[in-house]
Amino acid sequence: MQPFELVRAPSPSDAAKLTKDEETRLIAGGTNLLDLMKLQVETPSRLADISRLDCAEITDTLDGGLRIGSLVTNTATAVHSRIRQDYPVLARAILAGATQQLRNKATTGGNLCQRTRCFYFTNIDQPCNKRNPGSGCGAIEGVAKLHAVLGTSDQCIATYPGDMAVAMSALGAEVHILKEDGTERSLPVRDFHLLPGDTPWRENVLERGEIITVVTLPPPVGGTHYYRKVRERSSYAFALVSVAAVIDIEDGVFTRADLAFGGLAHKPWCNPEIGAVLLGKTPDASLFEKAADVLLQAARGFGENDFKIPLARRTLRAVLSQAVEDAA
Amino acid sequence: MSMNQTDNDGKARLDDMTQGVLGEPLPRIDGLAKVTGMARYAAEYPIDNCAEGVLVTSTITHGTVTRLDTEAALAMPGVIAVIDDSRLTTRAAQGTANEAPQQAPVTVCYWGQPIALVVAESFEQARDAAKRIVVEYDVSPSPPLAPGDVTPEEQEDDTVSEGDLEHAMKDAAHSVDVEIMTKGHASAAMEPHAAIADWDGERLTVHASLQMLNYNITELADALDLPEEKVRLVARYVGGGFGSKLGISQDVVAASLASIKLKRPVRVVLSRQQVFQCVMRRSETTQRLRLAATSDGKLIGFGHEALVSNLPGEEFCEPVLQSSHFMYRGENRELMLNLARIHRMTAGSVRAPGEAVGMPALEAAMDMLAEKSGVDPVALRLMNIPDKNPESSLPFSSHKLAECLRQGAEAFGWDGGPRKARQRREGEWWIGTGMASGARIHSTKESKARVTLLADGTARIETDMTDIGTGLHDPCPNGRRDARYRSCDGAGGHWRHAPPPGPRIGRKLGCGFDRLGGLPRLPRDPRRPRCAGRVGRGCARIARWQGRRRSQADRCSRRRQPIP
Amino acid sequence: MAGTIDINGTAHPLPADARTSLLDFLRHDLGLTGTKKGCDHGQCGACTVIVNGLRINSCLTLTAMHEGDQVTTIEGIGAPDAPSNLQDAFMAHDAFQCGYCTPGQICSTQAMLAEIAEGWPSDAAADLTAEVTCSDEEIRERMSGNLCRCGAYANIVAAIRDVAKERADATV
Repeated sequence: MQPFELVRAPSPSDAAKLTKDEETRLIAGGTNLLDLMKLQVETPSRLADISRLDCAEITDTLDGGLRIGSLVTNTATAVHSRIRQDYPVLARAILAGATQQLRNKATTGGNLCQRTRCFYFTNIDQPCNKRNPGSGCGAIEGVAKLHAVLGTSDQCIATYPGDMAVAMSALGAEVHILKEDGTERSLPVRDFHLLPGDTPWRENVLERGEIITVVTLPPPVGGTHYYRKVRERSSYAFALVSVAAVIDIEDGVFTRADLAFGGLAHKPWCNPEIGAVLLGKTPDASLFEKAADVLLQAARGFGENDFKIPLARRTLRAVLSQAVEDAA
Repeated sequence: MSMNQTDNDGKARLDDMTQGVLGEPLPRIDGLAKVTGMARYAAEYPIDNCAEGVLVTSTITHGTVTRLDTEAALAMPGVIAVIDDSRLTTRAAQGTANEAPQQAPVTVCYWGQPIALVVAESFEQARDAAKRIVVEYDVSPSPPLAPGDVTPEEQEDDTVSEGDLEHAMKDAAHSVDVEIMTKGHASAAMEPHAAIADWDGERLTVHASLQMLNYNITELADALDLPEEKVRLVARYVGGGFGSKLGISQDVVAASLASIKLKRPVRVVLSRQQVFQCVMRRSETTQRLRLAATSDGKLIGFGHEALVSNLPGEEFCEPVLQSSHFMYRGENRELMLNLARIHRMTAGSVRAPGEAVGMPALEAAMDMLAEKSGVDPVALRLMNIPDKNPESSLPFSSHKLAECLRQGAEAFGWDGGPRKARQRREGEWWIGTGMASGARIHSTKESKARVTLLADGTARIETDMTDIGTGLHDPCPNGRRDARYRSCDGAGGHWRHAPPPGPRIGRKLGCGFDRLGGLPRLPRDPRRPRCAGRVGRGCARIARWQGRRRSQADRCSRRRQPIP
Repeated sequence: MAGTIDINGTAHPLPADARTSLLDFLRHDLGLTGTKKGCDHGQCGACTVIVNGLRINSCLTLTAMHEGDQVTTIEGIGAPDAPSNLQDAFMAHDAFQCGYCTPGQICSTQAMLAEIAEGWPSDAAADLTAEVTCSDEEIRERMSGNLCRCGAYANIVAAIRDVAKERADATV
């Protein structure tokens, strides 16, 4: 790693101020940042330790939802009784990710901000427009098994690798951001991450001088929750394709189909039109195909990741079929 | 009476010699050290004044290093030196190479090849500085990277062409002609390659993670242009090898050169990325299987061809066809092994070289034949076991495959039930049944061990063996369970005797023992019988050893080929 | 850096170089080489230690961020003259071969058993709100963060099963 100054941020607003400096990174769990610093993908000259800030609680909101502090670890979120009871898709998604050792350290805020696992991004000798704007994209005609099939640009085909954010997107969670002037803003997690476009180095809406403080979950809607993660081994591997779903089937028709997809894009993929295809309809094979058609209408493979397109279709179909089976 | 012939009671003479120890489950001698974290692996010896080295690796595939700009790195805090000595090795040595592997790092042959070593006071300083070396290259355009890009070299020792396979395939009642590809593999031992080298002005002592110390000493001495007597290797615990630690790796030579130059100990540990990039890979393979059979499944034609790859200048060729030569009958035979020279990292031995990729392909083809011909897969193998080696016509001294197949079939309840994939489902798992033959050649070579019974009632066992997890610390003491076992960690250095002609293979373990020019004669107490202590029936003689220095003339000749 | 970190009950000053991972601090600065470096990037688990009761990858954390924290390494779990029952179980079941992943496996197991006792679910659970069991499937999922290239997994699971049963029986 390159040398850096380590400072401790005494408060969230101090932390927000520290991020105004280009060369400063916040460090909480550190499981992504330190990985990248050892590879010199990240080379901050200052680290602001926020790991002991008072943002590590899960509390009820007035409307019956939940507030998850940005420093709550993945483990603490997944094992919380209200999460397990009322938002199981979130617990499932978190537990499907990484390992217990990593989940014990990874934080809500950090996990939202985690960076891609693209081989060209993580190797500083390789062309990568995200890491080194203008240098090109090695993946587009290179090794692209992990890469995106939706929302790509000619500059970048990287995927967002996380699971938690996919479930949060399906649940309609909101992320709350504190600015260094003390004001706050919030927006749906669905809108937190960005597509690469012409600015692949911009991965989310955070500006310098901003810090995530809390993620809120709306009041629980019930339904049956699914997180299906398809990967090359049954644990400790990133998703090739994942589906987060909150489903309700009443009187033989879909009354709820909140869906989000991982492994397919630079962000968790959320298209309300997919669920809209299902609402009010009787589940059957052709309906599932229609939903998959909407999901994949603009899908484009890059050779090695062509498989993700039929795989996404089949995974969605499998989740919906499972939901039907469970409703019976 | 032979040793495994049973008498009327069903007991064989060999059974009597187990002494209640051999064949019994026993806890490992080194278990306590391992579970308490006390076992020391190569990088873990506390050596004073030890500097830290990190390798710099190439970012081009093929070409020459024209400039190594070390100015920025040398100015960084804690940085001591940049070693770019021409004796740095660029590849790991192949198993039993017994000479230095490719050196002269100025020539780059594959992406990720080590080209220099940065040495600093701390690991973080060295790792950071290694990324600040500015390297300029003269890049060779379009180096071949895929086996299909080049004309391969036929490995003539493997070529078999008998009868007329093409004709047999056309005439056969059932035939299979299939191309099967396997991907490359990495050994990926849990412990990354690591070495601590300490040159004291006279002798070089290296703690390293290696599997074949006798060869490794020769390889290291050769790489450094040092006499072998000045080189001592210690590898008490090795955190897995799986083939990747047979020959010396680049960290060993780099640390040694740095220590010699800087006159202080130097530790070099490969990063996990470097282990994957510059040590060993198993070659990918493209194989063609051709099987021609009569209507009842008897093979009349057998074809197995394979294409593998390696760097120019390497002798190793993944021996894909190793067991195919003798597995099954088929008088019309075509076997051929081709090697493509490409610029990917060194291909060498990775766990079960040859059969690991050749057998599954062969057995997949046999399964296809079983399906086509309607012959039961077990029956198909049974009827095609040759009664003599199908290529040399030599009779087998013993052949147990049929017995394995029958016992296996019985144990698994093979008979009865349809043979097809996905016969039933349990949760998210499809369950079917299948089978395959397995074979693995084993080189039987001469190997040596020295056992000394000491006056205090203990036995000292000295042998060139290393324990990569196979538990070989144990057979040494287990054979003398009634004697107190003094851990072979007690002595130091590596003892060598004059090698017999030809390579030594067979199981090799290493403890560390000092190289001794001549061994002291044990004083013999005339009151004691010749065999002190119980060593078991039939093992009466104790050899007395006089080691002798190996002369320079005995050293293997250099067989390196020039790099094109 | 001012402040200390507690390793197996002894306080140590934090390292001067802020870059020093907890793993390198243990192995190099303190000479506690029981904790192993397998990949240095949180991908193998050989570096697993227990910090404030939680298992983590010591390669992916800065020592300087652990001021005042309590760390247990393999050396703190049991020594040759007094191995813990977990270490005994690993020996009895031959739950290792080369031994390099073993300290990480043991530290991970120690913490894992505490997680089960706390009722934390894993990905293997059919029902997230049901009582947590220590089935083989659960053990394998919970231990998935500790790789073993020698393939001693079956014996590791057997050793853990034994210890888990022993502890369950003891609380009855």
